[in-house]
Amino acid sequence: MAERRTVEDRLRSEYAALLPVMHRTRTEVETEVQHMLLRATLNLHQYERIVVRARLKDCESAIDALGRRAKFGFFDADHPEQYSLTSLPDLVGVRVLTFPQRRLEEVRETLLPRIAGWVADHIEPIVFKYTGRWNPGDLVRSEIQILSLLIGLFWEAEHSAIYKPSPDLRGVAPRMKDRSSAVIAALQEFESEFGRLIEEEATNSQDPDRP
Amino acid sequence: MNTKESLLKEAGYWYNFHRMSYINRRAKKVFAEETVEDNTEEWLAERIAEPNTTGDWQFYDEPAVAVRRAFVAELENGRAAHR
Repeated sequence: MAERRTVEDRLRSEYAALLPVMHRTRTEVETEVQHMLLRATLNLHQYERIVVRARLKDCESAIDALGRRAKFGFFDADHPEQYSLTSLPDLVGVRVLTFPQRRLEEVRETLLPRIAGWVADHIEPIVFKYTGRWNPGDLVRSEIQILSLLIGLFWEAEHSAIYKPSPDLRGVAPRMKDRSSAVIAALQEFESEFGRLIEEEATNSQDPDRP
Repeated sequence: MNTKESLLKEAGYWYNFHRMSYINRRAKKVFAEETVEDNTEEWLAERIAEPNTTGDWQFYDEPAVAVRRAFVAELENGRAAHR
């Protein structure tokens, strides 16, 4: 007798079926976000950045994320029909990285009207996260994150070091929490001070008495 | 570390990141993280103190049949309990 397909195998099939839709949604969200931010991007000073990055959640990460929502992290093999990758909030992800802080606010204000009805899940004041469907009829949900470029790059390095090489290393993450928080606090302080100094410099440069 | 975590640690429970639960192999008891979060310290202390008379693994809260089967198999292999 043939073996019963596991929940994971069913989800892998679902992922393959969803992939073309995910690609289309990613292209649409990324392109529209870049278009909405075009004016702000063209107005940037040389030292400022607005970077838009898009990604699709990979198959095993998606299954893993769904599994972590299940009781004790196990799928109920007797009821596979209750699981669908479309329930994940971030199959499509767009991250907008900004530097310095004042650009973050500008980006947020620009994008907010387009995602007004989305669910907000912020980690204030570090990252502003919104999840929803870019078009009302979209099969998959998208997540837009707006955050500091410095913290975003740190997270990318941290995430790829702690989570990606081996799921076994996930246990390390809680023990690194204090160190990670200290790095984020230092980056925030750097950005805040940098923002203060460039404002000060801009004010001083308009002073007619300045030599 | 909060009081609930201290209670569990002092009673010999280890947190398993993969299974989002606290496990005591000697007592053969498992607390789901969300169950710990949803209940009071008093409730937790009482559940920790009560003996496991089931002759099997005791879960707080009891999972679905297939989930229990998979989890117990993992526990009996020693993998989950030693993480």
